[in-house]
Amino acid sequence: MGYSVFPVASTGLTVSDLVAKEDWTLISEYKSTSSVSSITFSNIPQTYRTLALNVAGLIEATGTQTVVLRLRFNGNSGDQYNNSGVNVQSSAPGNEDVYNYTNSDAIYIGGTWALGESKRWAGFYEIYNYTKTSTKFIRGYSSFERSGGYATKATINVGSYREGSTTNAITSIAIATGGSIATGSQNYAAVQLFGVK
Amino acid sequence: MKPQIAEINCSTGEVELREMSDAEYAQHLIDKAAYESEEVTPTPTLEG
Repeated sequence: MGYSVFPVASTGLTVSDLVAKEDWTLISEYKSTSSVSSITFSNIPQTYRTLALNVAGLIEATGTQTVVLRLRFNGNSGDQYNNSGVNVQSSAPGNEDVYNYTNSDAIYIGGTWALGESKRWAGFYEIYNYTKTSTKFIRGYSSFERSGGYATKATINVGSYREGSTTNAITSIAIATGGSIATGSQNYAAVQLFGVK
Repeated sequence: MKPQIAEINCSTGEVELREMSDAEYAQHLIDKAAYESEEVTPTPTLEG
């Protein structure tokens, strides 16, 4: 009497589904040629399981400011985001910290102490469940160069998003700062949005 | 002059560089004020 190694229902996942390799597609990309304060992907196709955002660039603040990077979905800046994460510095042990914020106005993905200079940053973020009407989940990693002798900082970010009383899929993603993302002599930022099946 | 936004339309592949709208600029100023103030911060980046 035989048995199935994969006892899945006829309407469920097939063996092929289970062994299929991930399929990554570049949806859109942007390379700056001038300074911008926000980068937005709109009309995101709803045909993937997961979105992946790959970013690199220069950010700048005037004076002794911290530049904070934010992810926002569907143009929303209400209290619809939850954030948790860990910051780790490349030196100065003891300055690491863990944070947790609920009902925030964005997913916070790190930042830098720029002191009026252009500083490099890079990050990679995955957005799960983005086509669904339920809560979406975000996780990512980022690294920031900083001014003033402060150590380079790496952050690990996790978060979630839900549009209050509405239940929309994510159709747009904005990277915003309140400062400038791509600036300095190179005016450089490169952002890629991938869809993963 | 308001800050610039780069908007990438994933459907057409077109990139539009445009000034922020009034509403976008208002949010930008809120974001800017947030990181300029000490109370900010749902941010991981203040110096320890």
